[in-house]
Amino acid sequence: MTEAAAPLLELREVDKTFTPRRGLRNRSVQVRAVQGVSLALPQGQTFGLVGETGSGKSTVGRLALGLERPTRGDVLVDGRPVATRSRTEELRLRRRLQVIFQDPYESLNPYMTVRETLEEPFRVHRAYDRQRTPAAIRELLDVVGLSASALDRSPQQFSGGQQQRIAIARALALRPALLVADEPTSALDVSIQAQILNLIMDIQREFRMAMLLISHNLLVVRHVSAEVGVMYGGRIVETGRSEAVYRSPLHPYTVALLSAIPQANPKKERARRRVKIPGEPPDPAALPPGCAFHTRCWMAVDRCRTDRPALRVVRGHLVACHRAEEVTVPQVPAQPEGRR
Amino acid sequence: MAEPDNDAALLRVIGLRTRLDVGGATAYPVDGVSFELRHGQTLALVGESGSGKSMTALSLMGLLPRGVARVAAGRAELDGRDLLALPPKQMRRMRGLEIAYMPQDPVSALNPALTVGRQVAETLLVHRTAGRQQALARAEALLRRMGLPNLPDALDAYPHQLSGGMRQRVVLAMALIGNPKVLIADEPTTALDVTTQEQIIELLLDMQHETRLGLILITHDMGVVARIATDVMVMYAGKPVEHGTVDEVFEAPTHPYTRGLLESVSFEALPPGARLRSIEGVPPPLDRLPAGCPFHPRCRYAIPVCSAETPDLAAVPSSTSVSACHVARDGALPPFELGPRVGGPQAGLAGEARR
Repeated sequence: MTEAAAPLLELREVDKTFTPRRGLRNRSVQVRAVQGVSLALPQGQTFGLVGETGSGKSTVGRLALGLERPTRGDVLVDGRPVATRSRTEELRLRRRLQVIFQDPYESLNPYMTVRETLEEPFRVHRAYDRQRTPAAIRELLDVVGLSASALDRSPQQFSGGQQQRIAIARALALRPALLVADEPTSALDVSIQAQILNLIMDIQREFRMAMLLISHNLLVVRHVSAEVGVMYGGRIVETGRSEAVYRSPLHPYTVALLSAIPQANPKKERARRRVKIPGEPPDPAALPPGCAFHTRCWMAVDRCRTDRPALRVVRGHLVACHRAEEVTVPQVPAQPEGRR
Repeated sequence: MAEPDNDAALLRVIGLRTRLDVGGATAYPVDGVSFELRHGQTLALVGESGSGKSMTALSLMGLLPRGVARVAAGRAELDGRDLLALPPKQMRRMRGLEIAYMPQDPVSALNPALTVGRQVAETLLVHRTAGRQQALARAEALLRRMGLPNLPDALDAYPHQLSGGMRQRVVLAMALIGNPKVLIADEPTTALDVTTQEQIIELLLDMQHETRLGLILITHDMGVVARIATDVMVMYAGKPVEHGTVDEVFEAPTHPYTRGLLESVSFEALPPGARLRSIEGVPPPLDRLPAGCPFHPRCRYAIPVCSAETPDLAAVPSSTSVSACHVARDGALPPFELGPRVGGPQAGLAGEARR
């Protein structure tokens, strides 16, 4: 990262701990959703966050948007901490940060027409102009591939893919500098997923936006983003150029995650050696000590159970594993003959 | 498909057609589904939302929503008995013991007020195939086989105390405890994380290997299909559009819709950031299907006959699959290749998605 220009979005050693009240006795539990996460996203770039349920990836997205305040560490936009801004400044900031979620049906107001939905950002930010806004809205619809006839219909009259297009148009309305896309295609059928991913890639280039793409799907993230961070137990355990992480994963968890994705090729699937890991992702309210992955890791040694590994550079990218240099794919044989 | 030894078929479905009447409109969410399933075979029913996969399963199980949907035509022979013609009482006897269904969502499949042990044992208790003690003992043994930890205490756990992966193991145990010959698994791994998905897939394959279960796998995930299926039937708008062995269907898909599904997930074949090859448009509403082939408005190979005549599944030159495509039947589909389309990565804004 160059010193010259501050990245658009930067997270510095961010923690987010929730303390929900649980049970009748109000016993407080500490849910360590995000711990020690740092990332820098320059203007116009895409960063992909990958992880499973409870890994903390969505909380990082909410922190980036200013929807959650960090428990520790700083979230900076344009080099300035989000936390120190005044109310007016915060509103101005929100114009520049937009989001699309997994379920467009949930994120669109059923009582508003598409026109009202798309006008809302202009009104909220006092940017509505009787002459220019209607034209801008038509252009937005065009950009996301919907016709102007959509304007007076309500969101329920559209399919899931079209609803996601409406949500994208709304997010683009004020030309944001950063788009957080949290599982934008996970609720969609595969053919529609491809359409929406194409649209997201197109607008990201066209609008020169930075994008934080959050997904459980490593193939999607690798395809869309230049850089990727793999999250486990609230921490980024491996990060670097997508191609590098994908081609030579150094964290055993990344190795396991890649190995678990079935590919649409039966012959390859039969011949493939797989990593089998036991158990499930840890509960962020009860993270194991040391490296959070040690309970499932085939390479774990005593040290992993007590010392938490820090991110360090190994073969050109960052990985948090004591044994990254010697990472191996465990020898699980390909599927035995006849069992298919 | 057409095996020389037809008598080996465990389940034979012929011309299944299911009628749905909602709000004065009539639709056929399953229209002309035929297949054979042998011991140990896994047939994947593939397609997007509304393609008729789950309705096919519910039709075979006799679990269609009453008063709204009913089987309009067809036969489904299991051990020589037609499931679709059985009186409800006899069909009830078949469910769980001969043919079992593993529903899509483990949360709604489980009763939150009953313990895990009780729910797994229920099939045996309801059909009086075992006494209470014996049924619970068998439930425990099966759950142990499923990798549920903390047994026998876990028998007394309630579903909400289990993780998603563990619930799915319980649901699988519920489906298997009656030793069915056929299992219909509806999106068994869709709600799971990939590392858990892999564990459940391994378990399904192991159980199938042990019991020679005929498995009908309903999924939209082409990766999961490639991983476990032996045969594939692709459905679109209620109709089967392609049927063949998994190798044939993935290597040389003969229906443009199958090709589109495979292209949509062909991340590996493209340089990073390149436009994905998607299928234009959306599936049609079932009560307003276009004339001719239901896929023709989205098809890049469509010719005039496609909007006039509905193609039936038929043999295709130089393929062992059958395909419901006029162009494929004439041998006029170009060879299938994954990879960037000419001009793909540089195509303009919103490009082919526009409509």
